[in-house]
Amino acid sequence: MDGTYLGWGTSRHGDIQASVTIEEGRITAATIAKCLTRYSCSWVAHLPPQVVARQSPDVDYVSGATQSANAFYWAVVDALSKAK
Amino acid sequence: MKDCAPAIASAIDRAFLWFQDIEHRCSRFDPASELMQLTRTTGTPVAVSEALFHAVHLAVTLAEQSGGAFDPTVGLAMAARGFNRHHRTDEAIDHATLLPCGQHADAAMTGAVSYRDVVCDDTSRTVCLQQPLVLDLGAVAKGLAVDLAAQELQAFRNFAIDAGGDLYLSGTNAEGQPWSVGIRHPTQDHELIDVLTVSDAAVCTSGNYERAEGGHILDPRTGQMASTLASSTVVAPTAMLADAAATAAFVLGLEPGLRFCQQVGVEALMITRDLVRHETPDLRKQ
Repeated sequence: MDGTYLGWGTSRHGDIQASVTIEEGRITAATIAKCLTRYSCSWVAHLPPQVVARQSPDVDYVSGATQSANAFYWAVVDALSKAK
Repeated sequence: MKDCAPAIASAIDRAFLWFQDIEHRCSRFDPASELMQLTRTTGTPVAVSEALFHAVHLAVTLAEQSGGAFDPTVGLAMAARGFNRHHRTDEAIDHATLLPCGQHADAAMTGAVSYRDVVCDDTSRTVCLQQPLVLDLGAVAKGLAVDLAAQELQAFRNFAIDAGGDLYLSGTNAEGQPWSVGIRHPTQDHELIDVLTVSDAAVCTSGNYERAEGGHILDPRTGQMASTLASSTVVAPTAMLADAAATAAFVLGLEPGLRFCQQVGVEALMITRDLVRHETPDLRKQ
């Protein structure tokens, strides 16, 4: 279902709330709505474009290390689970 | 498939639920998780759920096979390095307060514990922590969640699961071809360094792309962060195995990592810090 969804994710660095926008079944935007991590969010601020960029036209999927982006990943999963 | 829309939707819902289930079960940041409840008992076998047993058992098996390069008993060592934030309250979680009191807590703090202190009994499905320690299942839990989610979708022969870069690809893509999987370039954010084609396999990547933080993958044998590789990608029959093996291979480094993968029976693509790719011989054979 299209729309904008919020989800919370956790990692060893703290909580992140992600906002995921779905249009015509594809993720068109993913941003950080709230950042409660121990370190500043600047290190994770560059991640949201990856969520969208991962939908590369050249390949079906992309495998990469999630590392300390785990909170964002879980937040996106959480947001997507509400998008069903 | 169009007629199956409700069945597909409910299967996808169940698949998503596994991610929440496994995180709550296996998180060391939640004092109420099944993992942290296990942590409160030392010296006695504790009956655990099938999922937790499966994760711990695999982690210990890979620890044995990697000579300790991969070792799930690093929970306290990780917390001591600052990886200790409580997942909801933003408080630092103090694992020491959850450990059984005492005399051996120092061993856990100084890293004198290892995977040898974790005993899994197949028959009784119990786990016994022989010394106070905290398991970190980060390297296996996400893969396990992917595998459980994949089981929910098995009836639909062709599907893909993407859990933040940990993948399980079943059957073929919409064009009837094996799934194409791009491997993230370790230093160029929006680029791919390679492409693999897979079917009925999981693909997981371990890496340290952010130099500033020094990474978060600890080498349990030295107590230092692993740093000789840019990334390691493993293709395996299950995501839990791919996830854990990618971490083990990353810590082991290039040659020992490739040997380890062949020994365990998985394929790998290792990228050294000079961005040169090295792979197991059968990686591209599908």
